[in-house]
Amino acid sequence: MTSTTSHSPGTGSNGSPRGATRTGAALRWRVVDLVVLAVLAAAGGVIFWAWSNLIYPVITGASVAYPPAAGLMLGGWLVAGTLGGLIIRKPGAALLCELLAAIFEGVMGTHFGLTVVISGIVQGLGAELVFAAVRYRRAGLGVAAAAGALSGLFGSISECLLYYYEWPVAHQGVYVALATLSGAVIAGVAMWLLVRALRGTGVLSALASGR
Amino acid sequence: MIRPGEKVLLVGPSGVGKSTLLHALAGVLERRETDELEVQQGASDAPGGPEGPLGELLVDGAPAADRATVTGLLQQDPESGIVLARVGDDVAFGPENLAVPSEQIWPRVTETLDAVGLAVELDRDTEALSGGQQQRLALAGVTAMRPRLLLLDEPTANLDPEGVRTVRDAVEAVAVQTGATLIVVEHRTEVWTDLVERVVVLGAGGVEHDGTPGQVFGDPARRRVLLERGVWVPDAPAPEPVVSPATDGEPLLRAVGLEVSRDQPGSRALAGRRRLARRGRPVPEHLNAGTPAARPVDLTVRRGSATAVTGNNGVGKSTLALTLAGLLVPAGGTVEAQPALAGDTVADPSAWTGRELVTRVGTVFQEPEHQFLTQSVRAELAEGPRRAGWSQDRIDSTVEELLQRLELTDLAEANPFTLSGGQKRRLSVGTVMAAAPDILVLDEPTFGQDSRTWWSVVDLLADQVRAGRAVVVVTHDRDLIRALGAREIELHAAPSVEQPDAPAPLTTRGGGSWLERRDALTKLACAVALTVPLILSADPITSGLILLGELAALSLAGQRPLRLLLAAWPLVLAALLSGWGTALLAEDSGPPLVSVGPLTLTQGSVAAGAAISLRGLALALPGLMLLLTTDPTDLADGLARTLRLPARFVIAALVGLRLMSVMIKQWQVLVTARRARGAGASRNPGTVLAEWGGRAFGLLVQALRRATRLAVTMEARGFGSVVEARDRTWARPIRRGAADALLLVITLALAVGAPIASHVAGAQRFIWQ
Repeated sequence: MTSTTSHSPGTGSNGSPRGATRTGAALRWRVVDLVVLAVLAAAGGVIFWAWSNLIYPVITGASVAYPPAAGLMLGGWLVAGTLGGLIIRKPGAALLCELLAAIFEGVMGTHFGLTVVISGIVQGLGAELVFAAVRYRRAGLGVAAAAGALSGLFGSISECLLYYYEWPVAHQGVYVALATLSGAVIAGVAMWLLVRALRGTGVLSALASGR
Repeated sequence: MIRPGEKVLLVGPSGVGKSTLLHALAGVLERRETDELEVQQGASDAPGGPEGPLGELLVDGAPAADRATVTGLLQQDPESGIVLARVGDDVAFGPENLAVPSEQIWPRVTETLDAVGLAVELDRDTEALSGGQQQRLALAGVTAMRPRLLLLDEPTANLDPEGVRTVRDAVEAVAVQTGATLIVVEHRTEVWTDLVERVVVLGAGGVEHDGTPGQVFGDPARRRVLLERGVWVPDAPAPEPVVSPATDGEPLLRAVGLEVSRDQPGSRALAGRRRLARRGRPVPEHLNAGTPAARPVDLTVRRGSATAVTGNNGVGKSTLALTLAGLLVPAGGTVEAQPALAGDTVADPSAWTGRELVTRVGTVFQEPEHQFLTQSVRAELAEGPRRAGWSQDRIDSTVEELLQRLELTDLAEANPFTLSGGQKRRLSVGTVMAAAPDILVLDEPTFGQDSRTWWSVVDLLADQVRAGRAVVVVTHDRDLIRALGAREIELHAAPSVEQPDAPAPLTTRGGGSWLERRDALTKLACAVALTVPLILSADPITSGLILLGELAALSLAGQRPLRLLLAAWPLVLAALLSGWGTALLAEDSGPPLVSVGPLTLTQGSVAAGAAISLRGLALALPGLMLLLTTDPTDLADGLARTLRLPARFVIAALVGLRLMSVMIKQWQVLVTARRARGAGASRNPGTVLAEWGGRAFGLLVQALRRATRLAVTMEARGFGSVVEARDRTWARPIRRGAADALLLVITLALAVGAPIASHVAGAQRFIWQ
């Protein structure tokens, strides 16, 4: 926090104009950002784990007749990325949050094993690109939905390569389309609503998203 | 101006900025906040005189935010003062961040733990400590940094009297030993008056009084002003009883030979028990709670009376209260609602529906946030009456009346989570009063409150007693018992139960199975080594061989492979289902096995499906094995030191993981607390889903609040700011030996050998082949 900048009033560090320092500071990671990111990732890991072990078997069971329909539930594995991006609003937040959540899920045990780390990077990258495109300044409903959708697009393509490589291409296409939609709704719109509710409780007041 | 070595008590009304001042002195405020603070405090705290319009906050002649001097900050919530999972590691965290050479850290750790009187093993789980012990541990974590300035922010507010005494003594010992300057903020001044030599009273305009404890607290007029502002002055006479409870009121609830236990039956057993009880059938023994914690209790709750449950820590006072309130089931004996309370429903409170419960017994938990269900104060107060099925007019008038009564009218539309501590406390009492239950059960309603909130809670409760309702409080607060004229029920531990203060059995972290003793990073490398060939190959022989190797390793970890797979059945099921999906969709080849309409299963597609299932299982086990045999702290050490991952990020991840597991343990408390408000009793799928969402949201809010406070603690302990994170030292040595090398070699042999064996057998298949 303040300890890394010069304290003399009126000037920022290195004698640079104060305004410039402030912009830089807005994108710098503080301890509270790191810890909150980790907590969000841990919560995301629990959600992912439940999704993999409790919801996935049910849904896949329901979609036995047409397996690509399971793409509709991919969004549940993408929530940490958009959540991290929307709440922390720093470069790398969406990617790191999704990756860390995937790692937590992996060690809790799923039939995806440590391959979740790859999924985490790919999915997180999808969300991160959208937040980076708006330079971490906007976090509205549209940005959230776009981040979720791109995350879903990236994620589902990687899954077709990693898990569903036996499927014909047409089925893979349907899977990717449904997963993108799922990402936009579950990881995008729903997380935007969650962040709005969290902001109402005041717990985000120490973060960029609570101000 | 505070001189070196001085011991100062800082008092003042809530919201005057005492905590902010401590945070600023500790150098953990952001620039923006520091500026605002200096506007308020500059004139009184700047030794060099105000400079410009802002003033300055100097510690040892340097701006506080520069952190030139080591300062230690202790916060109110014991949980927020602890960073890591093992006692020794937690104390070592501060010195590590200050880059103290690692060979000097452990002597410091033991010395500091001695100083605070915490005689537990260094590898004890920090979660297994009582509140008082946790707070002393947090103090040790601060003291180990050898601070010249010790800042304590209401260090005893969340503790019972025993904890308060031990923490105060520990602070005294540390202050004497180190000669550190001490600044304490606290409402309960009598704890500190004989330790400090100076009392500073802050008001809205800055310092109002400044003198010795005798000067500040001796003047009767000043005492009165302080009391009005919520400060507890020492040696105040105990409050007179404000109600004279009836002794012959109509009985509402009767407990006979009641034994209670936290060990509750599972949710399915509970549902069965509820069904039996609602039909008036006897409840079989096995549907009761587990081993009782306390001796059996007989008691009758009467109209217009107050009852206080007292006893030592951990003896089961809260459990008794929740059992009386119908939120837990007894371990033995009975709780029966008398006709005056039960009305048209069954006598067993634990079988009541949410609606029946909220109109009969209202329970207030120690943590108000556990019980908030809605987004505004008004909706929160209307919730109970709404569940009771009242008319809208009646609800509206009740809510208006309560808002005035609780002095929350101006905050009617505010989000409950944003209220101050005292306001939350009043609201939580108000929410259960709203549906006008005949019995109010409250767990430690006066813990950590300033004297104004204390009086408003006492007045609310006294009114309930006067109105002919019954109040049951779990408390350590003698003044509360006296003010309510409560009848005291002292709870004693069951003879078979060991005393909570007795040392718990040693944890087995040092020992453990062969695999558990191996180096954490080596195990991670092994898990990755096994995962790579699994990702790249799609044939059953590679997957099968690796799976066999993993099952053998599980035996080395002291696990029974079969039992583990049974316990992890969702994982197995998921692996099977993904195999099924592939069997359906894979290109048909070989002789058809099943053909129903568009569904075709051929030998080729079934084989592909089976391979996918096998691969899924083999992929799942390395991660699980890592989880079962590795301490996250050791893994984090390996990642940051050997792999040179950014230390700030790795340690934050470690802390986040610990915080989340702490929160998940609170899930059951949250379920019970929300049931007290009538939530979660419905079987309607939509309502069930909404209730799950509500709980998860509550958990997340509290986890984030904790994370924010913990970040302050970490920064106050020098994390990532005093020295660059890459220069910090590490207290724990990393030991890698021949056994670790052996493990790696065997694993690599398997990872390479399995695809080769498969290739020799002619089955090897690359994933995108």
